[in-house]
Amino acid sequence: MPFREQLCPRLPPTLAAALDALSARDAARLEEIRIYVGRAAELVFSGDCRTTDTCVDASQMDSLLAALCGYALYSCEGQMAQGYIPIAGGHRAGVCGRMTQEGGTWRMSGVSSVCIRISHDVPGASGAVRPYLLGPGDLARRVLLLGPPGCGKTTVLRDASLWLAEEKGLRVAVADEREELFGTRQGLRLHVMGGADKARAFGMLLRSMAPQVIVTDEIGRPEDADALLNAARCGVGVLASAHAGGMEDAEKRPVLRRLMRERAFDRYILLGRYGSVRGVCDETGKEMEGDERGQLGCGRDGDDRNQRDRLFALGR
Amino acid sequence: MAMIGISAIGFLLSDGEKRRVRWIRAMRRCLLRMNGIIRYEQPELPALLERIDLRATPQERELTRLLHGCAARLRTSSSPQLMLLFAGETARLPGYGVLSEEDRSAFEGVLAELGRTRLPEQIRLLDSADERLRAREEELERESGRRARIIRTLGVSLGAAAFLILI
Repeated sequence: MPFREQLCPRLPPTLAAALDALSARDAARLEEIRIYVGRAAELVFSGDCRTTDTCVDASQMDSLLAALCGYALYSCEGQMAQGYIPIAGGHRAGVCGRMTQEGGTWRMSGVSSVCIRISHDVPGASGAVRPYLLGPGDLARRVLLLGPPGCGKTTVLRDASLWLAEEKGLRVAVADEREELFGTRQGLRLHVMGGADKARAFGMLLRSMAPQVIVTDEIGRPEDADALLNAARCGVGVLASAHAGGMEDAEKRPVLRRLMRERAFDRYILLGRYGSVRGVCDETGKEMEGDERGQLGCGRDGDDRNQRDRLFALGR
Repeated sequence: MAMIGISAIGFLLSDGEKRRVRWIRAMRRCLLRMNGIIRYEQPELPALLERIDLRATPQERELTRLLHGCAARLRTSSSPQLMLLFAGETARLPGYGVLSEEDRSAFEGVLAELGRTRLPEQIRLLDSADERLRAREEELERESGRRARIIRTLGVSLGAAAFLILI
């Protein structure tokens, strides 16, 4: 379902109208909708940002939150306490406000801004990383995608999961904690465990689904590292992502440093914008060169733009 | 004839009360179902209403249809109010009119607050509404029983008196 059909009923009427008025190309380029209390909302595209005529007050922000929650605050109070609301279709609304604690439970109130991150299904988005996902005999490797926020890691993971499952015929299990990868989509040749934390999801998937590869997004907590190491030691391929500007940044993050030291991954793929590959490192973190890397984009702006144009052409 | 006439009046009165009791039971079953779904699945509000699928009595089927209609309107309206949507749907249902204001308020009060608070408060809301409806159901059944006895006694007495007069 196009994202406009999923989001417009939940947005203020003027903002929904602005979204409806977008051309097909602009709609494919739309990355975020940023809404502020007392300030004009913005549409953030890849490469530019447009201000709309929509300005919400506090009560309209409450109505927006209710709509984003599906009119059921109980359905996402846990996620709101972590600063986000999952939206059907794999979209995510980040929320900012005032956090209060009651009896060990964090709650958010007085939301002042919302950032709705649009999820785009881009067939072929993982084209640049596919050569590194499988080893000899088409066995799934343990691969970590590294990149800054907004570079397309989730889009690449989603496409790569489908490629591994449907074209390579592997048994793919997805630990979709934030329900951004596949949400509640059905009809896929995948085993998707949504909502559960990675440790719980990995355990259940390993025990029950006999996966050949487990996919997950946004490794960042010590518990995530434990779950990953456990999966890696079970002889299962892993495809995961983490925020990092490069290998140096990754080594500064305790969780990723631990994973690197324990050789949890066979390949580290550094992503540029739109899923282009800037570099590939081996299990020790050493950059790989030449034939070992295969065909690459080198992370220059020109290659990023080529990747973007190719993906937008594929996505239409 | 007097016995038959008074019995007919009694039947009509009790039939209306029985329908009220069936509506209240349907509402209670609906609240029970909502309680389970919210507690264990925590779906969005339109999905919750669509999951209510009661079919045992005509009142349950009507209530299911009303809630499904509300769910469809929730998905397409901006800033919808569930209670107003429900009021709009029930306005087209004459059978719902058999319920008194007090009967309706417990159930419609739930609809006004559904989805607006956190899980523990939602469960308390549903439990409290169910308790009110249970009390209403018992009260109606007591009244119905008492009225039936009065009408039966009256019918028998009048019939016996008429018989004696005729003799």
